[in-house]
Amino acid sequence: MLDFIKGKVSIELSGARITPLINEAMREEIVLGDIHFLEEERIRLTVLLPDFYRLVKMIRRTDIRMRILSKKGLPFLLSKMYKRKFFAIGILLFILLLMAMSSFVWRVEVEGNERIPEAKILTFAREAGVFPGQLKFRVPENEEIQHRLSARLPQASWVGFRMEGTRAVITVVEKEGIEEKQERSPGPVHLVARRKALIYDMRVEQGKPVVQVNDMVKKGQMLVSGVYGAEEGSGSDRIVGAKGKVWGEVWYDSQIVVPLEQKRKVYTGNRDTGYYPYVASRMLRLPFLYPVPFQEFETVERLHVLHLFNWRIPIGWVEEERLEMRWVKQRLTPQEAIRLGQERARADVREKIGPDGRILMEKVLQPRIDNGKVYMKVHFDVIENIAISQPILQGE
Amino acid sequence: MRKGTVNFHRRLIQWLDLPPDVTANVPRIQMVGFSQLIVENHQGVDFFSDSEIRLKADRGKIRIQGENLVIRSIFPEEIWIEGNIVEMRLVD
Repeated sequence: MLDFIKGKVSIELSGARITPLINEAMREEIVLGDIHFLEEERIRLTVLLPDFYRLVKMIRRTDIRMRILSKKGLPFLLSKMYKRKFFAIGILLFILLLMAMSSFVWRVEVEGNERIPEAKILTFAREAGVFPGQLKFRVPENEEIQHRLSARLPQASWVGFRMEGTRAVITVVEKEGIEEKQERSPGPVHLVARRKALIYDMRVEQGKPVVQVNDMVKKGQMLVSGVYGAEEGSGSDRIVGAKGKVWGEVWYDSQIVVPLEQKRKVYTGNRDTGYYPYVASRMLRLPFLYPVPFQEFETVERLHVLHLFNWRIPIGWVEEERLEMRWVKQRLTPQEAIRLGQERARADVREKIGPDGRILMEKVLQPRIDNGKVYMKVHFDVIENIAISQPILQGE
Repeated sequence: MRKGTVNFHRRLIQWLDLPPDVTANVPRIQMVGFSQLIVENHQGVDFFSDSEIRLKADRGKIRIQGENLVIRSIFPEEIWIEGNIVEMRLVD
């Protein structure tokens, strides 16, 4: 390998008194190798290029004739390349151009859309950073684009994004139409109560109501029957399925504990950035490079990886942002604590009753302070849709 | 090397129990298999052909006979010879 870098010359020597020349060269520390005896007064040998010129000088002093057989190694390759420099520049230019050209997005394609206009998707894609002429490494992660596009396209049930070379492909799966949706529903249903409640109001679109307003219903009790007819099982009945909403008054009790002393994290606004090398999918945490100047802090790490064409080279750097933070203690008065607990309980209940429920009344019961905490019970009187569908079992 | 120096070396070697090639300028010949011969502390090539190589040493010469002999590499203190080595003889 070293010989290759230095370059090797193979020569043929002919003439009398070759052996003394070898001895002299040896004393001059010229490394000769592969000395072959060809015939009387004719030998072949190899010499490294740096020693070659000294050997030539030595040969000039004698009457030995020399013939160069071959030249091998990097110096000769380089000199040959220098002779054909325009060719070499051309190759380099070609590779550079290829790399430059392949690092752009040339085309954005949309597939799978039937109703959503392509121009609309392309506009959203442009907003997300995907458009022809964009540098490929500036295109965000696939997941991020997918997320942003599907947020902008409610008509699509799934949006996929991928890069295929210089081509960006957006795959859209559209939501199926309403007519198809009904086909999929599990057939005619009864409406039954989801929980114990007092019926407040009924909006029945289809089906036969079997309870009335101001009735108490138990969990699982039938509210609207999907069967029309005089009597169930009499044979003259007709299955149509029930549809509608039944509003029930429901009571919730929430147990809430609020500590009087609140501990919160507060960012002080001081920030500092450190960089760590990232080699072979591993982050090298060198503690002395960028020492952390903060006592308490949180870190946000961002990975930068080198890209070559489409491959991620597992070498890069990690940018670590340190945000200084502080714990802040806050003492609440009992009134404040109760209010906070009430808000929490309300958020809890709202989660349970869904978007079309509403809270009629709320009341804080039995607040008491114990061990630096406020224990309380919040009672809610809410109205929510208590009807859930239950398939009509046929052939009973 | 003068005769007195050689004698001094010889006595020093015996006294210190050292291998002779460390201090004295005597050749050290190493043969690997039938085809490779390494001579350290040689004094140069005296004669070279593909059937015989003669090396100079501090006392006399080393004559190597064989077929297709090739000097693989040659340094001031070491020489590597390859080929079908048939005979090695130390001559004055």
